Amino acid sequence: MIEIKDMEAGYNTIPKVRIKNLVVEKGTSCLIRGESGSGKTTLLNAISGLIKPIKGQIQINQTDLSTIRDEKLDQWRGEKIGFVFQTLHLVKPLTVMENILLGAYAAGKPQSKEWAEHLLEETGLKDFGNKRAHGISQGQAQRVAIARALMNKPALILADEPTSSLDNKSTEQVVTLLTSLSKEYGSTLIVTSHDNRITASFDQLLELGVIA
Amino acid sequence: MNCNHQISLCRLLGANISYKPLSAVFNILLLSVGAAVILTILHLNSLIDSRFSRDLQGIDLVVSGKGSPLQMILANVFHLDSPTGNIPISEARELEKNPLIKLSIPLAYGDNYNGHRIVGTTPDYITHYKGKIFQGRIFSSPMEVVIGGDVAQKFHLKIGEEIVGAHGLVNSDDRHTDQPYIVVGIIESNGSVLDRLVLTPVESVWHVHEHPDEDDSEETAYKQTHPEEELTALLISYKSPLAAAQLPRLVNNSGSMQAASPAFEVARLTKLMGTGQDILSAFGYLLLAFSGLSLFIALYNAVQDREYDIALMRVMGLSKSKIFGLILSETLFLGVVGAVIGVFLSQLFIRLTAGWIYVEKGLVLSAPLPGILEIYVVSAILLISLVAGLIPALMARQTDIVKTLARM
Repeated sequence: MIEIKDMEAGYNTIPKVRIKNLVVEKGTSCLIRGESGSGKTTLLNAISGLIKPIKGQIQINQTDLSTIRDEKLDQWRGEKIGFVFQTLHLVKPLTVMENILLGAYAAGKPQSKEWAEHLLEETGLKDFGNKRAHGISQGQAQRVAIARALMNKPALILADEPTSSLDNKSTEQVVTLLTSLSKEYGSTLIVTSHDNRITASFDQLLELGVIA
Repeated sequence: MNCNHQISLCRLLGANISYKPLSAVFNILLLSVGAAVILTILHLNSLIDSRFSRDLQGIDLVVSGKGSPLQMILANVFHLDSPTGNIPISEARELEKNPLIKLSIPLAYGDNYNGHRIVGTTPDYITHYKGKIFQGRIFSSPMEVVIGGDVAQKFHLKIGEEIVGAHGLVNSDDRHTDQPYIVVGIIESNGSVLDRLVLTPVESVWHVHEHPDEDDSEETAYKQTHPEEELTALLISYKSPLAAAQLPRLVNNSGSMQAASPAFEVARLTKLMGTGQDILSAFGYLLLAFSGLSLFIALYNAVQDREYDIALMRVMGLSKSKIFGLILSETLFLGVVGAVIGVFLSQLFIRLTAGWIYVEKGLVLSAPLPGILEIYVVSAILLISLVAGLIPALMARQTDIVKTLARM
């Protein structure tokens, strides 16, 4: 469960996003929508501990982020959060399978090949495991990124504009995968987007506006 | 490089290097050639130095016919050059009586056996270089020869075999077929000048040239102009340090003899050779410095190229220290591969050069196995690699995840 209370986050003490109260229950999904500059990515950065809130509190599964020491934050993030980015970011010299296993390696968790193969199957990439990451399509790469985000069975999946560069068919596939798999594995899903095509797929919607 | 199917530091290293293989190969090449040049120069330098000092051992003065002192040493100590001239036996005998002389070894030569000098001398020459007769015995009468180990091995010579000398110091067809030598002993190879010589009593050399063929106008003329028996040189050991001040002057003031100090001339030769060696060494050091710079630029660019990958791995939980370690491992890996190839190349270069010196000069230089010198050079390369990788590794460690991901 994610709980955010009276939080302001931004850069150089200038707030870019302000949240009075947000609760996202375990295993549910939330779409954060807003125009460019409304602080969607800033909010995700604050939730993942990449930036510290200017004020307020963020709790993830009853853990207040401000209580996690900096040196433990990397490991905590690796274990608890799975990321999917707007730009498909796979490590190019590695294969699809290795990119998925990288999620476990980076978090210092065991690399279960069986689990990675299961995720490949779930994301419809069963036969792509040995392909180089630079040899697959954008839609396929985004599905690899989803499989990687699920590799550590995270408590929380954060997806930043995951469909902005995809066509309608790929967008539908990616959103269905994200919502169904996060539900299946009990992960809380928070997606940021300005894409109206995907609004109906989420349990909860939060609209953000630009802070004046 | 695929350590196994799992992701590991080793696998990430392999992936990073194989992503831009040409850059990796170029840096490895620079490091290895730099290391190889330095190691080859240092080893050859030390081999030639030790070879020279072994052949110089205990010889304080060389007395021969007037000419270049350096040539006298090269000809009579190392047998690498033509003699400057001969000295009359009477003058040589008179000089040997000097109380400042501990040992005087006569040398007389002018013929060769398949390019190896036939040197007339006394058993003292063999004793001086600690030669051991491992087959047969030492010569006791004219026309008996004792063969150096390398000569015996090269021509499969055995005790009792007859060999024929040829006129001059290089292989020629002008052979003394009517005056063969008989092999009575073979000296065990010990890395000294003895290895490549054919030794016989001085009288043999006189004997061969005593009865020139009637149609051999060169030898007839030689006999006419050199009516007295002669020696090519005397190798002298001093009895006391006082001799160094007196003997050379005494010899140089005599009629036809000249003295040369091997230590002085070899120091001069080393200095002459040293300039070339210094240039080559400087080239090697420059290559290493350049390879360090190139490694730095390659890693700097690689870290910039991979900043998204680095940010991604950081966001997925890889710690700053692991990112730092990953970049340093990359530079160290390139350094280790470069150093190992460099050591291998240097061994190849040394063997090729030693082979060339043997073919050209008959000088045997035994190539050394990797040792302390390699440890120093490999350590230096690893240090260079480490220094070259330090700034890129720190840059990678300090990657601003938020800013980098925002640029995606």
